[in-house]
This record gives sequence, structure tokens and C-alpha cells, in this order.
Amino acid sequence: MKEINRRKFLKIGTLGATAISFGASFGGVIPIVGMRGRNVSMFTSKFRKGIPTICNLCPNRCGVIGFLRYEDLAAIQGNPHHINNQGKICARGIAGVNQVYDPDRLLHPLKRVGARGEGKWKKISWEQALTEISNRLQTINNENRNHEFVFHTDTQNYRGLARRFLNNFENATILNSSALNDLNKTTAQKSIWGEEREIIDAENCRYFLNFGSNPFESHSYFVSFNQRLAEARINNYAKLITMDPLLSNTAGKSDEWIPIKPGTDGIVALAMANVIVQKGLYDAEFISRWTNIPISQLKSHLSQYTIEKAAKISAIDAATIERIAIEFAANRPAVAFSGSGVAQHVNGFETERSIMLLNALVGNIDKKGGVCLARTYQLNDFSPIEINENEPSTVQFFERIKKEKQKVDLYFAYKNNPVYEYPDCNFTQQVMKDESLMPFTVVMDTVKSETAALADLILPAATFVESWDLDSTPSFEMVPFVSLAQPVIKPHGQALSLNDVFLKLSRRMGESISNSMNYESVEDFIKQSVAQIPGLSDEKQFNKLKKQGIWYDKNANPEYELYKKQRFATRSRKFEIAGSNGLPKYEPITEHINVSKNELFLISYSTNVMRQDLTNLKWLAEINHTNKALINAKTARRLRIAEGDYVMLESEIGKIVIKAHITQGIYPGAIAISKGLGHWEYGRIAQSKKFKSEDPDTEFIWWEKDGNGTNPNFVIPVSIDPSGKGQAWKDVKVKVNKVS
Amino acid sequence: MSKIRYAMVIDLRKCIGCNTCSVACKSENAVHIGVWKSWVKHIQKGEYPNVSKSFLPLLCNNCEEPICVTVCPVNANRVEENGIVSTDPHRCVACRYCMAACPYEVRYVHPIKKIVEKCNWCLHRVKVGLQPACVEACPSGARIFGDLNDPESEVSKLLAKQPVQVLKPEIGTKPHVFYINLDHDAVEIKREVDVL
Repeated sequence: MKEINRRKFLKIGTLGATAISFGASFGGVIPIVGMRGRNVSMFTSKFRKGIPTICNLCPNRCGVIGFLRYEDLAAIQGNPHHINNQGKICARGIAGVNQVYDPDRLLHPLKRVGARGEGKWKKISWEQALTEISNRLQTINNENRNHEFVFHTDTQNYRGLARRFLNNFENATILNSSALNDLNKTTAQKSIWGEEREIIDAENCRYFLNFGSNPFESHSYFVSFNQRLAEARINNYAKLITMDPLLSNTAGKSDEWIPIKPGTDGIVALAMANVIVQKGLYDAEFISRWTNIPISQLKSHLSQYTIEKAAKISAIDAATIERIAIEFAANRPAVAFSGSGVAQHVNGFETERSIMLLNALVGNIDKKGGVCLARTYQLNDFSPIEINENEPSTVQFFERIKKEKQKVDLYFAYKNNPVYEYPDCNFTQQVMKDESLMPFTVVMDTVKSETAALADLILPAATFVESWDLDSTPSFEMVPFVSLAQPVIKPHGQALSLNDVFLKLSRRMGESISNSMNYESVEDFIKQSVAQIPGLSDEKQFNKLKKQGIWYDKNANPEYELYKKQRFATRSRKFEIAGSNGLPKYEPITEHINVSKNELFLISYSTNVMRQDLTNLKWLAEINHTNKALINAKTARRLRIAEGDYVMLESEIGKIVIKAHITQGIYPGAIAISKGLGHWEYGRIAQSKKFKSEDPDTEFIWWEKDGNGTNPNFVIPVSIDPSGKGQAWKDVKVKVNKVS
Repeated sequence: MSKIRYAMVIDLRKCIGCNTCSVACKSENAVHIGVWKSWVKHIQKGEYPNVSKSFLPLLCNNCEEPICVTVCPVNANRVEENGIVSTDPHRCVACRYCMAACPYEVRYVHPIKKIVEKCNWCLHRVKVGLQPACVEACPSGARIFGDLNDPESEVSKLLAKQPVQVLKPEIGTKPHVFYINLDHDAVEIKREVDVL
């Protein structure tokens, strides 16, 4: 396959698909199997009508095609025209069908009638719901109390028309739940080279040094990254080294799994950097020309991080650290990358910087096979008012309310579930319940979440196959593209997309706001946004985009080393190894001191297939519906815990009881529980219940006896990395005792 | 032109155990909860710190010498012209002989129709030139499907280049799912490690 590169292959694939789609019937000749991006009815053997759109179940935003059975959605498949996911898709995307036909899906606006959280609701009209919200918003706006309007969403949904609407509320509090997971990483990345996260040119890479990332189960660019990683491992004989306290699927299938003490990745990276510098294996040109520090100064700074010191702290032996450092520097292009195992520590910011230092040392910045800058198109750029998204910190939001540092009038959460997702669930619940602190809360979602259960107004949200959107995710082919999401089916029940809601709201409000949203429909807005992209300005192009789902400059070739032209988006316009906090350093974690005999570090991790907002999708829940606490066999013997025993995990803020699973695949000082399970709302499948509905499958639910798992967030307190401002999920020390 | 003989290669070097194939199959073939046509076995082996994982995607092997066809008393199972073993839902009387005979345990009783079903490599798709749903979806490209008798097909090229294994070759069923890098332990270990 090496002779045909991916881009050529793609062009052939696309050509084939188009040729056949115009080729009508086959007249009895059996074609060669290989056509992609089509779907056929099992009973009539007729091709189904397919409408391309984009999946929004994760930040990778794969191009997908929704296929129709009359008016209904029959299946979701990958869009072979899309250059990032190349027609591939993951289990979550396919199960998007379940989200549309979820038996517990919200179909009408609901208004609370009983006390908050009592569970008594009344169906109301959109008219009434929108009037209530717009009246409140208008008053807030008129009285200049915009900061009391809180909008809670994530990066993916805070854009386009929604962003345009919110721009009218200067100083509004925008909470970005993406910050919950890896804010430390993105802040560190921004500080060092002005990018939010590294895009790995995996296809051309020869060495992957993975610090605490788990791409095989959960990754921001799951489908795009994994397929290129898999190919590189075969075609380039690339090695994958994973350092992780837990044997994730990635670690288990890496060339080497190196178990590491949680939170010590930083010193390992710095010790490796030290080895590379001392042995003279660094890229002298890149360091001297494109970074803001002379090598001599870096050398003397790094000399304190000896491999012996790192070995003592991280539990990895010194020889291994040295060997990997040399391998990393010798097998170029090599990349060092990180995941939540790094970002979710109190030293996450510095650790991320140390890992990026490794990349800079070998000069693999924006090179073929290196860590690359994001190639995207600027979309919907109507010079929005800059809202300081993370100040006040999203994570500390509920704490600030409780301490009355922040006043709230209207709280609006879109597809967000802080009561379940935030650290310290009991505390968040308490704040959400308190009507004096949170006078009016609106939750818009597809199913009734824990947060919605405590809301005053619930709005039914459209799924991704029912909405419009425009997207330009960083390209893995290194050629930027624009992709379009369009409704495949009409929204179920009375569900509406967020953009529709904001458009309707704006029409009920004063002129200054309604004028800024002067569009006939969401489609009209999308059309106008598309027209602003050079090369896509006329109507014809828009129709083509609608047909293909993606547009990119077909003549463009991947270009590397963009920084030589445009430099880095940092203050010095250089790769800032020396940042405002000084050079990358290792910050010891205070929890590591004084660990008593039955105390372990709790790692809450994301698993394959599942995520907190996907628990009610039957196909996914069947695979992953319960969790156990993973304990190392030796530790378990010491604590007299056997397989299947119930154990109690106790932290400073609470306790949970969970079944133990004894494994060889975890660092002895750690205990791991997967995230996303243990819902107490979110529909009946999420709670592992068997029930009668229109869908016969709900009666076949066989995992009732397994239970629906435990949410570890009850024992995880709010804890912030002061430099990165993100939550440190993984520094929780828990007392582990067998429940007798 | 020689006859078509379809085969599947599963390149376990690429498999990431993500279960996309399992879900793609559920979606394409409307497979009910509780039964599977295609699934992934996850195993873990070794002692800390030398531990590793293997994933083994399983599905019907569409054998050259299928026992299920031999034992069926009502001739519901047959080998199609293209080599795929299909089950006729109108003939099946759910006697379950085939389920007992199949060495790969890929057959199940449909919970509503009460007839026996199994993976037929998405025969309805293959007939019109599409790949089976699991092959098209597989994000890491671990599944490759094509004609064994066509030397230009990707499966033929891979088989010519790579050593491959099949499941239970000693039985003589001549399976047509070929695995690259098959982990002996993943085949032998009966107990599947719980999905955690």
C-alpha cells in the first residue's frame, strides 16, 4: 500500500463511488465488492437515499451519511468523501440512530410543577417556554446584569449562530465544559506554541511516545488518529510506547507498556529531555532559530532532572528512561503526545509543557510525521465580542455561586450535565437545588439528565442528524476543509436545535439583539457563512457541499513547516520553551507524601464505546454498562480483597461502594474506576432497567443484574492546577477497605 | 472468469478492540439485544508489569466445508455461489442442530422469530457490490474483504504476502476468515475478561 499514498487512494475511492452512483442498476452483473458510502435495503435490494452530515458525538466530527427508510433514519455510515475519517466511523457514531429513537427521549418542552427535583412536570408549548426565557433575558440585558446570564456548553456547540446570539450579552458567563477534561493541556499548549492541541501527522510518523493517552478507547480525534496510527505501525514499522498507570486497551496493545506512578509523567519527560540534550541528540537548528532559549541555558536547567531521580519518583527504572529517550531521538519523525492521564493532574500544565519540550528538542514541529499546527478554515467569523471563557473557571463555578462571588439569574445548560459530570456531585446537586442561588435553570438535552431533573424548564434538543452546522476540524491530511451538517430527518417530536432556539429567542427580544440575528433560518445563516469562505462563494458551491458533505481545495498539497511563514501565535512569535512560568519543571504532587497503607490513588478513566451522555443508547450500553474498581493483584492480597468483593472508597468528601476486580494491569498504588456510568437519571437503559416500549429490544435487556455501575465523581473533590486552571481529577487519594 | 469466492482477512496488528464492528453489525442487520452476529473478545494476559491485551473479533467463518450445512435436516443452510453460507429463514425450523454442530458458536436463535441466524457477511450488501457493514466501518482498517479467486483483490494480495491463521483448523471446516497475528491465548482462553 505504500506505493499508493492515502491522498491518491482517496481520490480513486471518491471517483469510484461517484461513477457508480450515476451508473444506475447493475443488470445482473455482480460488481466487484468495494463500493463505499452506500446502503441497501435488505428486503428490496434498493439503494437507500443518503444525506451527508457530520457526527457531533465527539470533537473529531466525522463525516457521516444518514440513510433513509422512507421518512425514518435507517442507518448511519461514514462518508468516504471526508478526508479526515476516510469513510470510517466508530461505534458511537453508528449508535447515533439509538439517540434519535431513544425510548426515553425528550420530545416536548417541560415545566416543573412540584418542588425542584420532585419530578413533577407539565408539558408546555415552545411558545410559552421561549417567552419565559426571552422575558428573563430581556430584563437581564436591560438592567445590565449580563454576567448573571450563564450559558453552559462546550467548544463544539459554542459557535455559529449560538455564538452570535451570545455576543449580544457582553460579560455573560460562558461555561465551557470542554475545560473540565483537559484545560490544563490546552492552556499549556497555547502558552508554548499558540495551539490548542497538537495534530499528529500519524501516517508519516515512526515513533509514538504516549504519556497517559488512550486513543484506542477515547480520543479527541478517535477515528482520524487511530486509522493513521494503525497504518504507521505497519507501513513505517512505527513503535508505540505507552506510559500509563493503567493497562488501557492502548497500553495493552502498545509495543511496550510502561506502568508509571500517577502524576509523575513530568519528571520522566524532563529526564528524557536531559538525556537527549546531554547526548547531543537534539535538533540544534530548531532550538536556536525557533525557540526562545539558548541550548546552553536549557542544558543547565535540565541537568537537575537525572534519570536516577526520575526513576525514584516515577517507579520506571533509569535504564528504561534512558533507552526510550535515545530511541525517541533516533527514530525520527517521532512524536511525544499526552492525554487525560497528564492533563488531569495538579501539575498537568507543567507536564504538558515538558512533553512538548521533547517534541521541540527533536525538531518535529510541524514537520512531516511530527506534531503539527491545526489546518482549518475560520468559520462564522463576524468579529465576535471576545468573551473570557474560562474566567471565572468553569470548574469552580458552583463553588463561586455557593460563596456568593457569582450571582445567577438565568442558568442555561445545553447538552451538559454538571450534576453528574462535575467533581463532588453532592455539592453540585446541593447548589442546583437551591432556588435562592439558582433562581431559574433551563436545561436543553435529548434525555432527562440529572441536571435536567433539577431544572425549572427542560427543552428537547435535536440530535446531530436533525440539525444544521458548519465545521472545520483540524485536518489530518494537512489540507484544510469545510464540512457541513444538515438535517437528515425532521426533528423527533418537538425537538429543536440550539441554533433554532436562539434564532426564535432573538425575534422576541429588543432590536439590538434581533438585528444581529437577521437570518431567515439557520440554513440561511449557514449559507451566508459558507459564502464567506474563499472558493465557496456561489450558490452552486453550496449545493455541491450539501451533496458531498465536505469541501476542500482539490489542488492543495500538504504543506509543512508553516511556522517558517507565519511563525507561532505566541508573544515572542517563537516556540516558547521559556514561558511566563519559567522553563518546564516538575512539580511534585503533595498528595504523594504520607500515603498510609490502605490509601490508593484513584484514576477515573474513559472507556471504550461509552461516555456519560451515551449511556442510554442500547447498542453501546449492551457492551459497556457497569464498572468495577480495578486493583492490582498484589495490592488486593495485601488489603485482603478478593475478586467480586465490595470495597468502600473513602476520600475527604465522600464515599462510594463498588465491586472490586483484581487485575495485573494496573500500577500497585492506584485504583481505577471508569467514568460515564452510574446514572440515577438519564433514562431507563442508563439505569440497566428492562422495560416494555415500542422497541422490542428494551425487553431483552439482560444486564439488569449487573447494575449500572458507580459514578466515581462522588469522591473526587474540586481541585485546580493553579497554572492550567483545569480540574485535577486524578490526584485523589482514597482509603480502600473491604465491606464485610 | 473463475467463480467468486469471498473471504475476510482480519489484521489483528491493526485491531484496536473498539467494537465498531459489533455495533455496525447490530445496526445493519437489525440484530436484537442479547444476541450477536459479530463481536470482539478481549483478553488480558501476563503478570505485572509484563501484561498485554489481545482482541479477537469473531464472526461466522463462512467455511468451505460447513458442518452446519451438512447437519441441517431441512436444507435451510446452503453455500451460495460466492461461497457465503446463508440460512433460509423460511425453511429453518429452529431444531438447533446447526448450533450444536458449529465449532465456532456463531449461531443464535432470533429472540422474536425463533429461527436460527448468523452472520452471512451482509449478503444483501455484497450482492450489490458493497462491503459488509463491519468492514466498511472498521476505523483502523483491520478488516479486509474480497474475492479469493481474484489475484488483484486486497485479500489475495495480503494472503500472498502475510502468514495467516484460521480458527480450529484441525476440524477441517476450512474457515474463510483469516487472521493475521492471531494470538493463540486469545483463542484458547474461554472466559472473556469482562468489559470494564
